[in-house]
This record gives sequence, structure tokens and C-alpha cells, in this order.
Amino acid sequence: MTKNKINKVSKLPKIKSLSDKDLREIILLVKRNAEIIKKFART
Amino acid sequence: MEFVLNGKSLQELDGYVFCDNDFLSVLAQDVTLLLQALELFPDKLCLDPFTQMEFLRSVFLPEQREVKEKLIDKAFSLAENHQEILLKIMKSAMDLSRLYAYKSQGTGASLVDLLLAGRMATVAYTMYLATGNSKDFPSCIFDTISIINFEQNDGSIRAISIKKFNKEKYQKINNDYEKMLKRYS
Repeated sequence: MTKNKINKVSKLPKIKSLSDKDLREIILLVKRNAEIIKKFART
Repeated sequence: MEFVLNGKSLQELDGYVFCDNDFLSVLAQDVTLLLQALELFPDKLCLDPFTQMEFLRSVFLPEQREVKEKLIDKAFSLAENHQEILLKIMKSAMDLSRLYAYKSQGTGASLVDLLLAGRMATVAYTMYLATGNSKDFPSCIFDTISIINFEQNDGSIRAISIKKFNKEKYQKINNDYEKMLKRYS
């Protein structure tokens, strides 16, 4: 990679906007993660 | 559980809000809190790749690993870790660690928190950090912009601080530190 290309790399993240579909998926993922944590806390 | 806010209105924050591992772990297992956080910081929630690593390390169940990876991918924006940026962050983190020791504050900060602080110093004007570990970002250099509280399942109250790097504070302490070095050299 050339020096010029390196200098063009942004320090900042590329921000994404969430759709309703994304939100529904996120809710399911969080619920599943909570279930797994609960299950292993009991065992 | 719900967030209770103290301090500046969070919708007014003019930058990216990075989550540390404490805050991320809370959000990753409570739908209400995560949805509230997405509402409080619309299109602003970010993660440092070191926080991502901290969040995923030691996850030995393939299903949980997949769930956590997908959650990060869907809900958060990931900061760039190009080597040019990383070198600047590491230098900032090392400089900050010296100033922490000089002021006897934040000396117990974990390596990941030190690197997060280094990123905050590198992109000072655009980055906030939501952290449950306020003492790793000492007030001699960082401002607490706001505090969000929530009640945990056991009834105890947990506080998440919204921190921002203060360049003026940093420069003042750095100048004092340089003067001290001159006196002893």
C-alpha cells in the first residue's frame, strides 16, 4: 500500500443505520445469548 | 430493566459512542437495555476491535460465539484498526500510562482500557466511551459527560459513565510532567 493510500484510511468507524429487520434479528440474538448464559449459570 | 439518566442529554452527543466490555456484556443479555441504548445513541454505537476481542474471548460454545459475533455485526460499527492508526493509538496509550502513574490515578487500568483511552486521545473530538469501569479513565484527563444507571436483577444499582477525553487537561498534565522531568534531569 502506498503512503498516499495509508493516509486516506479513516480513523473513524463506518456507521450503519438499522432497519426494522435488523432490530428484530438483534432482539432474537440478545434473547438467545441471555438463554445460553442462564442455562450455563444453572449447570 | 431501564436506564436512568443523569447529566447531559445523550441525544446531543456529537460523536461516536464506544462501548467497553462491561457495558457491551450488559447490553448483550438485556433486550430492553439494548433497545434503549440504540434509541439513546442512534447510529452512534461503536466498538473497538480490542473490545470485540475481549467480548468474544473465552467463549467456548460454538453457538454462543456465533450469536455474539452476529450481534456485534448487526448492532455495532467497528472501528478501524489499520496499522497506521494502531501505532498512533499505542503511542497515545503509552503516553497516557505515564501520566496516570505521574498523577497516581488509573494506574490499575487494564491493557484494553488503556488502548481504548489511547483511541480516545487519537480521535479526541469525536469519541465518547460508555464504561462501567470509570476509574480506568481518570478524571485528571477524562471528563464524565453523563452517567446512566440501571437496576440489576439482584436489586443493586449499576452505573455506566459516558467519558470524553479532555485535551486541555491532558496538555496541562503533560506540561507539568515535562517540567518535573527537567527538574530531575
